[in-house]
Amino acid sequence: MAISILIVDDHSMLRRLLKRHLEMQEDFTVVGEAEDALEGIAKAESLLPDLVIMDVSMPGMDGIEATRTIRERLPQVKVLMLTLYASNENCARAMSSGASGYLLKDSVDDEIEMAVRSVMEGSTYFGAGVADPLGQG
Amino acid sequence: MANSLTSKLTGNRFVLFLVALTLGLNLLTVSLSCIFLVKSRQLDAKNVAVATQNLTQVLEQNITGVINKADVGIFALAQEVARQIASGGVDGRKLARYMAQAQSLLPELEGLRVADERGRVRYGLDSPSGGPYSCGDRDYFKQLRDNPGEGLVVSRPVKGRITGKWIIILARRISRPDGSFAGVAFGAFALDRMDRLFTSIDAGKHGAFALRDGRDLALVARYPEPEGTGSAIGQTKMSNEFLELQKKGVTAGTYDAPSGLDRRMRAWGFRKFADQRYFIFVGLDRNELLAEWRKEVFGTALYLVLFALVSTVTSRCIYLAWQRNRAAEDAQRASNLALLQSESALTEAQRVAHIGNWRWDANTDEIWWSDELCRIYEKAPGSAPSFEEAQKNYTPESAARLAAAVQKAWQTGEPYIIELERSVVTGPKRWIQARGEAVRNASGAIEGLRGTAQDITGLKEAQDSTKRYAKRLITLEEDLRKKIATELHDDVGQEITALSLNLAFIAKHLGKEAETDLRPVLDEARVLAKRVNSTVRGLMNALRPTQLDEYGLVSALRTYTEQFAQRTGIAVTLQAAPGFPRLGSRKETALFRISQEALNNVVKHAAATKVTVVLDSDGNSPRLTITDNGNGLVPKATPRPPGSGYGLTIMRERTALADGRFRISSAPGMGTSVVIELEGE
Repeated sequence: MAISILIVDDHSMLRRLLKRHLEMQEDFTVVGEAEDALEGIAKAESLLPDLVIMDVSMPGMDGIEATRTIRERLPQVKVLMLTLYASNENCARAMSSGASGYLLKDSVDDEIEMAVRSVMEGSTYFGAGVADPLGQG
Repeated sequence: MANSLTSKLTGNRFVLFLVALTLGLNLLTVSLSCIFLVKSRQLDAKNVAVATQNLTQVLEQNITGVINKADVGIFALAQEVARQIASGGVDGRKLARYMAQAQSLLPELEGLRVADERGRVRYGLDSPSGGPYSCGDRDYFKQLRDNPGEGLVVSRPVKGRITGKWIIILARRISRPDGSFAGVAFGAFALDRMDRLFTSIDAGKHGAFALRDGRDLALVARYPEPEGTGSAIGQTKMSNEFLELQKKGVTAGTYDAPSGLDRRMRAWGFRKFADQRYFIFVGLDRNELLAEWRKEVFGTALYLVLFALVSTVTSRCIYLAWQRNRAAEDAQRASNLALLQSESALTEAQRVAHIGNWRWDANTDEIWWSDELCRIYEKAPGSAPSFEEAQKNYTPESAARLAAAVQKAWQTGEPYIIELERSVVTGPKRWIQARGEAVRNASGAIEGLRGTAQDITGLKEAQDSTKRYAKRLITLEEDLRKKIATELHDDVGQEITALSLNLAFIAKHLGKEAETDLRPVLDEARVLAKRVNSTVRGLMNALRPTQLDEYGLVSALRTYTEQFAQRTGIAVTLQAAPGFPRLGSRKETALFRISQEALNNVVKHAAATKVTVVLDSDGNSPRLTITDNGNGLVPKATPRPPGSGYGLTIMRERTALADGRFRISSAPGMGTSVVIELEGE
């Protein structure tokens, strides 16, 4: 059973390359893309992916607020935060909004596959360079 | 006037003036003294003439009186004898009684005698024991015998046949009733009585007298007579000076001539008796007369020497005083000139710097304003408004602050520097910086105030303008930082992530034939991409921590201090008061940047091992305190490393722009503490 993924990021080239990178895994399927938070919420609701890969910093509503909305509305949908910011506050805020993982973009090529699998297995994932704000990892 | 005269003279001219004045005064004094001495000499001569004349007159009267008195007695005796003859014959005893009575009345006469017509002395009180003697051979007898109308006859000096003394005979004729010659009555006047008369008169130690016959100037008596009375009788030798006067018919006068008896020079006075019988001469010793005058000359000379000395000393003193006065005047003039130049420079400096000054003397309650101060307050030069009037130049708030500062300075002596806002009806605000301090007397008591006022409107405007520009600059800087950080995030960060993904894709699909050659290069490229991304993230954080905007000062400082501790090895403790509020972007940014600067200073200069950053509040006012355990601030005298010294300035400026107060306390070896207090919201 393939893992369906929704990519939410305001950077189109990054979305395209990330989609290609994910789909190099046979059991990963990118079911949709969104360029801002509101579109991401809408597509999550309509596409019901297994996982949303969510950028934190986007014009308008940020990824953490969108995560909170999605998680409230679609508790079964996992959210993996993908960001350039490594601050504890961001990470903690993201985790408290319902995200299941926090991954820095500079290690996306190495860790995205493991992060997706971990989250889908029910674990919480913190990427390299991110301290566990809850002190768990 | 003398001062004005001397003050106009130069040094050499004044010396000449003083020498001429001294010489002139001395010459005048000498001249006056000479005139006085000459006059004195002349007066002396005149007095001598008068004195000798008076003496001759006295002697004439005296001698004439004696002769006349004797004549009365002799005349009475002659008349008595004539009466007794006429009565029938001379009664010897009766005549003797009469003569005794007459003799008692005429002590000047040596003896009264009566001689008959043949010259035989018939009657006398002290008839000689050797029998009757005759005077018939005497000139006076012959003269009286031969001249019935002859009165008193005074003989030339003769040596008495009875007494042996030199005498003058005073004789009168006795006539019978028919007029025939019956004899003479006569008396003898001893010449030694003349010596007593002369010595009774004070004519000085060496005074001289001479009585000479009025007919031939034969000497009758003189004093002193070194060879005894009568030794020079009959001598007729006279000085030429007298003879000259006699030729001219002078009967009374004076002349100077050496005396024949002792060759002393004398001032002689002479007088011929009114009855022509005698000449009397009185001589006063010239040396004695001159002695007094010489004393005057000596005294005057002494006075002149003293005057010369005193005048010279006085002149010297005047010159020294003049020199001192001159030096003092020169110093005063130089001082005045310097003062004038100084005042001019001060006035110029005040005008250029827009600084005026004032003074208040509490003792006289006098207020003085400089011209520039008057100009600053649009008053006429020379004005000196009262303090109450001056206060009206300010807004009520500024006037109140000024009054409080002035009151404190007057009471405690504490100086003040305050900025005051002028009260203006229209136009932009104007500002004055007022400084004041107490004026103390020698004992330290406050006796007035003084101060300055500077129009700092331009400075304030410049400061305000600078603050606005600085604020703008900081805002621009922050905006720029934010913009660059955003671009780094939105563009560079994303694109490098994309690059990493592409590199990963290439690596995934790298063919076996290229595996050996390209794999290491590809892996290296992927590592580089990660490093760049990490660097970009660091840059983003350094430019503008997203936490500052999103999570506030405490969060941003926590992250920063942790990174700082990792980077420098200095232990940093952040103590944030629970519930420390958000302060707004401007203040949080200011405090964050100040913290960064302070921590950078610690690294650069403090050599500290621990730093504590405290965020708390003093009442409603947020406060940031950064304390290190380093070596404290280096004294200014110590050269600073290049590039240092701006940190504190930057911190102060950022504090001022956040409307806060900046304080720093430090001591060598005791660390440094920086405190920033902001106004509460």
